[in-house]
Amino acid sequence: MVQDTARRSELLRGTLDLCLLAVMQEGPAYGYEMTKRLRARGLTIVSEGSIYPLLGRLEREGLVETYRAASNGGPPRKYYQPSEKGKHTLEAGVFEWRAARDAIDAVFDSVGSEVKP
Amino acid sequence: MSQFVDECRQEWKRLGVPDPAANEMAADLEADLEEAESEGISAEEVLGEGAFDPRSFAASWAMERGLIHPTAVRPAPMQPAPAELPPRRSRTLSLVSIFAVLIVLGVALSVVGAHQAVAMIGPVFHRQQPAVPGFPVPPAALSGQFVHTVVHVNPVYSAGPLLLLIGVVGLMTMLALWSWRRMRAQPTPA
Repeated sequence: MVQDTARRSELLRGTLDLCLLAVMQEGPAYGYEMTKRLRARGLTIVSEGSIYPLLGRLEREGLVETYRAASNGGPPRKYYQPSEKGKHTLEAGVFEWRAARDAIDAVFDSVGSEVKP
Repeated sequence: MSQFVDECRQEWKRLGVPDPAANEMAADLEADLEEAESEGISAEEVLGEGAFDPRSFAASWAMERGLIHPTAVRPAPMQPAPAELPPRRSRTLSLVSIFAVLIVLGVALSVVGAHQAVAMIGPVFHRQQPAVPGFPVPPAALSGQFVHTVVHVNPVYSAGPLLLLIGVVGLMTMLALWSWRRMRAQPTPA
């Protein structure tokens, strides 16, 4: 079971930046809001490390734009949204992900039905 | 929650993160953690493994934002610092130098030792000549093939071949290790 979690963690680690860009493309979001959007789709980040350093890197690389605004009844938050460069990176990354996923699916086709969760 | 943020603040201060950036990160973090707590979400679900190590979390965040240089991230004073090791490149150079010196020393001792042995054998050949005084010495007696001489060379010189062997084996081992590391570092073709 631990091994399954580790594998899932490794798989997610390589695509978490794309996941963040994708959820903030739905609408500007602050850190915790992105965590909630990910969790709503079944992605928890318990073993993957925090999203904050990753958001820092996206910001440093110019993949996101930020601004501060008041949240709903709370203190001002830093909102993130993809920059033009970030949108291109997201599109290219999703294309790569789908290509890799399809190739791996083709390899796993013969075993897929035999594996029980 | 605030204790976690306080520890992050201390780490940012220690690392020399500018106050405005540190304040901004602390405020965002505190607000996020408070909101999560109000929704019954644990800090671990928000921060991942970073929830157990505020210093690493804080350093990682500041580094990824480009607020500090990666080399600035050092263990905090409270944590025992690991023993400082010299960089691998300088260690390798030191070892190569040592083996090279051993080889040079080994060659030098071997050559000097061989010369000393020849010098000691030389007079033995000459002592064979006056076997029959007044008669010329037959060439066979000078060939040395029947002369059995025990040569005592200074033991220091006999260490030459050993040093040479150690030096050569050491260098070859390092070369093999270097090649192996290079092979391992190269990505395998898809």
